[in-house]
Amino acid sequence: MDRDLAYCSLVDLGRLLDERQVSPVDIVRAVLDRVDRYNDRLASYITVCGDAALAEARAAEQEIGRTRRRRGRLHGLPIAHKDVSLTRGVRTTAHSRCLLEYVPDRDAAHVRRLSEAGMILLGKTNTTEFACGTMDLFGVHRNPWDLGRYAGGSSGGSANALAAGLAVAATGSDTGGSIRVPASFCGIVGLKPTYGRVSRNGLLPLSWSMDHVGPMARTVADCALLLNAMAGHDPDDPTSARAAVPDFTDGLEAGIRGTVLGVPRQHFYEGLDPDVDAALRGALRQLESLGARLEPVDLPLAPHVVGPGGILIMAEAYGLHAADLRQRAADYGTRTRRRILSGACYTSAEYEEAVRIRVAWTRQIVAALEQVDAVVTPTLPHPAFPVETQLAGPPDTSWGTRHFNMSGHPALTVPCGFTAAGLPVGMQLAGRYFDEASLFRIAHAYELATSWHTRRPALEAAAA
Amino acid sequence: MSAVGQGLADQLRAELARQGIAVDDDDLAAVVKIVEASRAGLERARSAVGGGPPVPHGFVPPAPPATVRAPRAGR
Repeated sequence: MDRDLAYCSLVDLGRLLDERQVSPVDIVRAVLDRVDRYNDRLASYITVCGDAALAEARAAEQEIGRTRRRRGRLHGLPIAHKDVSLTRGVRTTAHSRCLLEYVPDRDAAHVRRLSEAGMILLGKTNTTEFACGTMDLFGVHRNPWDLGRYAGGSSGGSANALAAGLAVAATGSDTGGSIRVPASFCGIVGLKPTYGRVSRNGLLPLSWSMDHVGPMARTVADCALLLNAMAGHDPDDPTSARAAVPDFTDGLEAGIRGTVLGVPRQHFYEGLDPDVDAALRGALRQLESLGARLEPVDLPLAPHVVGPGGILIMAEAYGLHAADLRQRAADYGTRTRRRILSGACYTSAEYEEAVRIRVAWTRQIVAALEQVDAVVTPTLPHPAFPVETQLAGPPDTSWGTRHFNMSGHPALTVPCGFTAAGLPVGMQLAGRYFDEASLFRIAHAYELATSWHTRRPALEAAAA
Repeated sequence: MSAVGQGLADQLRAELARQGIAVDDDDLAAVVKIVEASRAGLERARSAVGGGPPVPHGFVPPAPPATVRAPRAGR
C-alpha cells in the first residue's frame, strides 16, 4: 500500500476507513494539499470544491462514526468529475466561454449515482472545450511525466490529476477515445463502457451516437468499483440499456488461463513508435505467460474507421451547436468553432455512408469477438507529444480508439510500459458487449503481474 | 488554395450562409481542410468495402430498366 494517502487506491483507502486508521477528512485533505501544490502547473482542475469537499468529508466522518459502518465501498472517498458533467450548485463550463457562468440545478446521472454511493465531489477537471477543441481559458492540461508534454484529450484533467495524486478517482467522457487517450498518455486506467451501460443524462453532449461516460482510476479494481456505482438503466436516457449489472469486482482474481486474446492483423500494430511497439510485444508475452492464448484476427476495415467516425461526430456536434454558432460563434475557441462548423458541410448522403461503414465495421469486430474473448491493441501508436504540438495542430489521437465508439463495444486502457524517455504506454483491451467484467479480469491479471501502475511521476523534482 | 479547394470553399461558404452562419476566410480555409480530409477518409473506406458499404438492413434498390418508356396517359 502507498504510504501517501493521495496515491492510495480506492480499495486500500476503503480498508483504511473500515479499520478507522484514517477518516474521510484525512483523505480529502491529503488530496487537496497536492491540488494546492501542483494544480497551477498541471491545469488539472477548472473548479476545486475545497471547502465543500471538506464539509462533505466531515459529514461522512460523522455518519460513519454514528452508524459504525460505511454505506458502501465508495463511501467517504473523493472523486473528480470532468467539467462536462452537470454538477448541482457547482459551475460546469466545458472549458467554454459560452458556459463560464453556468451553474446547473441538477447532477448528471453518473454524478448523482456516485454521490448516492457516498463519494465526495472534489472538483471539476479540465477538458478541451466541449470535449473537442481549444483550451484557451483555464490552461492546457499537462503531462505529469513531462510537464512540456500534453496530458491527452479530452479528459486530460481527470487523467493527469490521477497520475499526479491530485485525485484518487475520476470520471471522463469518451466520444473517440477521450477517456482512453489521456489515460494512456498519463499512465492510468480508463474504461469506455459498452454504449448504454452508463447513462449520459446530464453529460454535455458532443455526439449522441458516440458519447460514453466512464470511470478513470489508478488501478483496474478501482475502475471496477466505480463502474459498479455508475452502471445501470436510466429511464431519463433513451439510449440507456436494460442490461443486468453484475458486481464488476467479482471474478477479478480468476486469472486468464485459457482466455483467448485477439491480435489484429491490420492497422493496430502498424507504424508504431519503436518504444510503443516494444512495450506492446512485451505485454503480449506477459499475457501469454499468464495463460492466455493469442490468436491473430482479421479486421480489414480497421484502417478506415476513423475518417467516417469523424463525419458522424462533427455532424452530430453541429446539430447540437448550430443555434449557438449562429448567435455567438465568437465565444467558441478557434479550433472548436472550426471543427464543429465542419459538421455543417457534410451531406446527408455522406452521413448515411459513414453510418453504413460503421455497421460494416461493427459486423467485423462482432465476428472477431465471437472467436476471441477480447482484442488487444496499443491505445495509441505514440507516447504523449509536446504541448506545442497540441497548440499548433495535433495529430488525430483517436487512431486506435474511435473504432469502439463506432461499434459501442467496451474498451479499457491499462499501463503496459514506458518509453526510454519515461513516458507511459497504454494497452487497450476491447471486449464483447456488456462484458466489461472480462476486460477487468484480464487487465487486473496483467496489472498484478507488472509494476507499471506503481510508478509515480517526479513532480517534486520538476518543481525544484 | 487550388481551384478545386476554392470551389469547395465557395460551396461551403454558401452552405454555411444558407444556415445563417458567416465565416471569415481563416475559418473557412480550416473548415475546408477538415472536410477534404474527412471526405478523403470516406472515399478510402468506400474503396475498402468494394465500391460502397452495404445497406444495413440489406435493401438494394432494383437496377433501373435499360430503356425508360414514357409514362402512358390514362384512359
